[in-house]
Amino acid sequence: MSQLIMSRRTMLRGLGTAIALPVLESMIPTRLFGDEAKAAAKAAAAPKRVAWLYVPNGIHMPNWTPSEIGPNYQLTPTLQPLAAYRDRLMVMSGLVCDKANPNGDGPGDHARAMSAYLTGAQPRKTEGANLKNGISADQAAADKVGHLTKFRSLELGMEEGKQIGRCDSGYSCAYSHTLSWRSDTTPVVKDCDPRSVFDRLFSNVDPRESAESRARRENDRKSILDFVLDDANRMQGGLGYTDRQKMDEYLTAVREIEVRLAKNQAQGATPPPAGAVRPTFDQNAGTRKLGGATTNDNYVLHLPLMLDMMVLAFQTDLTRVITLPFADEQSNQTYGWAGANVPHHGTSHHMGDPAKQAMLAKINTYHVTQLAYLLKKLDAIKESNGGSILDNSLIAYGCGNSDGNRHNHDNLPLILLGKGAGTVRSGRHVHCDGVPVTNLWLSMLDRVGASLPRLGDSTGRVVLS
Amino acid sequence: MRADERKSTGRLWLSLLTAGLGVGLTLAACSQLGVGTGKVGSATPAAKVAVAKPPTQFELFQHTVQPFLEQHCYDCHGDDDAENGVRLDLFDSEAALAAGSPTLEKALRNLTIHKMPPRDEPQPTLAEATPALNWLRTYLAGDPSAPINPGRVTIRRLNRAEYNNTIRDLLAVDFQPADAFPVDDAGYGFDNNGDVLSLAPVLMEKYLTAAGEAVDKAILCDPVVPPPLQRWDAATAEGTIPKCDPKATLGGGGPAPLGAQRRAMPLGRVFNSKGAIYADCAIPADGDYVLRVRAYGTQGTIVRQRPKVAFQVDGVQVQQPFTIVEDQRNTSVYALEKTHLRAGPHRITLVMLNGPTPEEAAMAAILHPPPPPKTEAQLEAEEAAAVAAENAVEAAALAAASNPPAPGGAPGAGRRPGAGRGGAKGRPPPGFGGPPPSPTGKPTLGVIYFEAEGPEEITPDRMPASFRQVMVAQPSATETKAQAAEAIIRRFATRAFRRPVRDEEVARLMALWTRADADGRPFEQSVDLALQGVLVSPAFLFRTELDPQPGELGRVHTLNEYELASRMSYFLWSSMPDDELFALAAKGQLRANLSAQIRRMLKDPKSSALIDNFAGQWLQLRAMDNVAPDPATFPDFDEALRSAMTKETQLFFNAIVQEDRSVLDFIDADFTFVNGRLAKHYGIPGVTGEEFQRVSLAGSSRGGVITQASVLTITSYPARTSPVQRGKWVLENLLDAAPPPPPPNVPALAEGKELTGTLRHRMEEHRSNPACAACHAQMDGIGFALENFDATGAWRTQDASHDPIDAAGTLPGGVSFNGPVELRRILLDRRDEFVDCLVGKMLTFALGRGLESYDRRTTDAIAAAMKRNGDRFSVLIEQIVRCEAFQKRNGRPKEPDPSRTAGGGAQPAGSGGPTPAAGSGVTRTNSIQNTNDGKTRGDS
Repeated sequence: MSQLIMSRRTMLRGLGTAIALPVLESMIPTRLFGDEAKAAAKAAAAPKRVAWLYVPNGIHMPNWTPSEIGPNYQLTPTLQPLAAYRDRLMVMSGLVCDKANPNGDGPGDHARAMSAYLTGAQPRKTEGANLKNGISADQAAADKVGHLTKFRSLELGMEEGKQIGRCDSGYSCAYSHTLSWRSDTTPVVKDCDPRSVFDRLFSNVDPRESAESRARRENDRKSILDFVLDDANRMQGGLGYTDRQKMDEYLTAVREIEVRLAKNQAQGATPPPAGAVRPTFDQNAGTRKLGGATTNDNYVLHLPLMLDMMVLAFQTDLTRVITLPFADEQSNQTYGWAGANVPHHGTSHHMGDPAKQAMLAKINTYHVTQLAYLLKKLDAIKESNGGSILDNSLIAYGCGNSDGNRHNHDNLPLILLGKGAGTVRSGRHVHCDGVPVTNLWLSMLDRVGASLPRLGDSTGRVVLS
Repeated sequence: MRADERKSTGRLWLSLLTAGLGVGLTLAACSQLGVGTGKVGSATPAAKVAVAKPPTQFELFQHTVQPFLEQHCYDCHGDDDAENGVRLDLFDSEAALAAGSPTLEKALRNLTIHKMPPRDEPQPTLAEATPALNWLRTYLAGDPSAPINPGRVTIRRLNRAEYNNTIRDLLAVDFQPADAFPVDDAGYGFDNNGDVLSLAPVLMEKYLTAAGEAVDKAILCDPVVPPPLQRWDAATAEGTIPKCDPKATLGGGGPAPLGAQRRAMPLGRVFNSKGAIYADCAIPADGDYVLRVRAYGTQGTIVRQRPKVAFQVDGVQVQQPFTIVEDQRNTSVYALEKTHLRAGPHRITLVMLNGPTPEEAAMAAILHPPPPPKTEAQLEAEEAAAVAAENAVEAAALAAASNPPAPGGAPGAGRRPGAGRGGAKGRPPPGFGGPPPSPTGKPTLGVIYFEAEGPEEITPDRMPASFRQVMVAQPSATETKAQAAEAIIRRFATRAFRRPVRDEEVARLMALWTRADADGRPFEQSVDLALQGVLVSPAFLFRTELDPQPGELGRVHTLNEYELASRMSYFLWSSMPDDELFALAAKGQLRANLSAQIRRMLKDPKSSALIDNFAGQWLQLRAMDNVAPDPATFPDFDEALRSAMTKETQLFFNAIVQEDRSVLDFIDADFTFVNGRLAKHYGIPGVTGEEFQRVSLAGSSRGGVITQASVLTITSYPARTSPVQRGKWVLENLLDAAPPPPPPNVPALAEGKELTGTLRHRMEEHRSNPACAACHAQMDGIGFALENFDATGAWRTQDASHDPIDAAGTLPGGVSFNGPVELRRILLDRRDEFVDCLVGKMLTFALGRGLESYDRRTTDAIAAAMKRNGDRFSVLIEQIVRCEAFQKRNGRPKEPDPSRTAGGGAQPAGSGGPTPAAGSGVTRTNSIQNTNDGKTRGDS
């Protein structure tokens, strides 16, 4: 079997395709039970996880940034819900996402904020033709460590793409709705349906299904995947450059599912943890139009479910890399249950009005309480190295816009949660004046075994320990 | 040069040139319309007519446009800190012009809609602007004598709607798996854009799951047509038992729980003695049959048995006798499965085995005559008594059950009330509802009917349409499993791939089948696996258009007929081609029959996809699903009104399509469609009920899409109207002139100035700020004219604060109007822009790519053709299908492909290649169209 996989891989390379696939050895699942398994087993005892959580439309910075630097800073009102996790919280101010600035491209700060945040690349201003960005930090991490888990990464979300009308100022809607970029031309669509996430994670494992029946199902799927890979490879020859990029997406997707299938066959499917319940929540119910966008009255139920899925995924080590924007840029979600029944984007253009700023602060605080919810769950699960999942993780929470009214991309709001298994000296406020946020991503990647020389517009690293 | 010096020199050039260029530009304009030879006249300032050599585009630019730009644009767009980063002073060569086409496009658009120069700057006169605008239009359209650049569409995957529709047409199943797929990103206003549609692993997983579910649904299904049935009424069948009246109902025989029910129950053939009834029938074919009898019986009082019956075929008993234990006629149907019968005439007999002999019965009848039938009053009295008795027994049982029973407690104490009396509550005690007990003391039997059903073997004609459409072959004496499988796979793959399947593809699919078959699976299941492979193949998921000469870069080639058929069907139906299109493509006759096919396709009900997908996005009708008018302000808004509003616009669009009306009807028409609910909302009298009717709008203030409640609602906030949103909607969707979003740092309004007054008044204050006015001048005027329609589209003469509505508006350029009727007239005056907009959007939708500047010639030609033909809708569709961009595509460019904007300069060399011959391995057009209502008979 490994022979077959390698020859296909070589064929792919021979066609000059530009697929960002993991390194060769990762394509041979049987080797997971060789020496790599030993290394994996050691790591699997307490694997290090990394996650990026994103909130859109900027933050009300006066309530966010502590005035003092160092370990003895005063927790600001918006960060107050994190008091219990202070020792694993690092507030970082002064970071910059320069590629979200126009740099000659005119308006479009929301599209750029989201798409440049994890990539550090200037997104090409286009409505559709020739999308171009850069590879995002999470995908770069997945490229290196994704092969150790069944899902190389998980892209979760709360809001799906905009369906009607145009998005930000001449930028394709893909830019303002996508955080994760597999390659510089491939946005990764988010899964916003908790039911779908659960089903995918646990492969529709039905405890009543006999092993024989499951084996047959998996073998069927494998033979289908082999067949279509063959089809796609034969097709590549007749396609033009932009067409081949689309076919690459297809090939990449198929390969990824094949690898996961092989792992499931070799290791057995991963069942949900005891007590985990499949959600029955329909995230589309409760959506209504508000101005040119929509808001969802069930958001308050939806977000905790997605965070639950994050916990499940980390807990079962089905993945170690997750992204989850709490809403997409330009989101006009209303937050009535948080005392802010106003459209988020509209309110973030406060124009100095203190009433609007107060509303904005309430929205910011609500989001942070949800972060606290996540941290609590992660902290409750102890791992073999004595720490909790939270201790073994690095979670970045922030936004590509600083003040939503000015659309500035310096002095970004950003906090780092977790201890990365002791590799981070947490519990302080660090000011990194003018440092590209990609430097921080590189430091995070270092700590999960995904070191890179550069990422986007990075100039070095941020010292975290 | 100082700015004012530049200006005066520019003016001098301009006036001199205008004179000399008059002729030249006229010639250029004529060539654009296809008249004349397309040679551009002299550009020299001395009014010489003789031409030495034609000037280059760049020279024309320098003489015509540059002075204009200098005068009106360079102040803001002429140096390093140009507004918005838009620089108009860098066109210093032919190459710079070509590279700067997108900027020139924007400039042209902004000048045309009077957005630039900004309102507070001196405006150019028509005489000043026209030469520049004309040059820009001509230049951006490209060299009129060169072949049109058809562009190149990136390979596109099926979007959600297309996937659902294709599954529906391919498999004939009612199943929409794509509803669970992630939402497709839209590009250029539509969600079928090849560049934007991506394929993430999560979507691939869903494709795999959907393929399995869809094929399972299609072919692993139960028959929907029941097997043939022959039923014989026992009352009138031949036999040794006396016949009776088939309409007789059960009188006597004791009270039953519900008198009416009992009295309606058929009596059937009452067997007071042993005997048989039979029917002679013709069995249609060899096979397994089910013999059934609906019967009831009474236990004998002396011989305490229940009646025993048996079936015989031609006098020979089949299977075992069975006992009729029910005495409640409603539930007693007994079936003998798997009775093998041979074709031909047979006698089916039902025999009662354990009743009294006829002699015994005759004697008993003499000794114990049956009681006279009871009167109505007697029956009712009996019934009341029985009900009372029932209630008493029930109460007792309940009392017993509520007291905890002693260990090993009394029998019946733990049972449900009424259970002791023979079963579920409501059933009568034994003997109730049964045939009168025989005075002989032996069991009696009543038979309602008996029947033979079969053959039970499932034949294709009994299967649902999806099965018959896919499983076009079955293993038989003449066809092996493998041969049948290959026939099925070949046809399915051809239809799914939308082109003849290649032998090597069939071979690889057969490998899938062989694998499953070797596993020992039933035929359908092994075929299932191969068909799943088809449904996740890229040849199905993507609409592929392969270059026949991949080695030749840049060569324009004509799409083959299959590719054309796909483009047409996905354009007009958002689904795969049907058998007729496939057949024409196979014979290479699609292009020869284009007009007829377009007409047929528009008439087909599947063209409703054009409304769902094109109108849904162009008019943004899809937003109707989510509008939520504030219940406090609009308590009458409900789901019925929402769906009526949506349906009105859909029917309206459909009328324009089906009646081939002028597209200008979208702006203003004298009719619409309403049902009772919507008519009430509009104040239109005389329409009631849920059905939609066509009504005339002559003389009313409504007409066209802008005044339809759907559009008016989706452009409003939940509690109030938004003139800005409405203006933006009109500009964006009808005139292709969308204003950009507001800048982020819109300065706060002047200190201490409160926003007071009516909505209009408050917005006037916004527009008096010059930074805002540039865009708001466009939008607000249009929106104000529609202020008589509230946020749900109902007519009003006062706003929420009871101020009278002032519906006057002004557009830049000085045009003013009052109210919706005048607004529509103004828009009709701008018909050229509207048609241009509609053509552009429809072409974007049809091609699945954004339009580039080289498409201008195409859109201009289409718009001109429409103008010559009354702007009819079918002309729009046919022109699009016939245009070069739809029929051809560019070959692969040199790689990498940075930007596809070719501008006015580079044109691809060569004309289209030869149309490839229709492929071999043509489909078996097996068109079983047998429809059945798919009702599954309930099991007995």
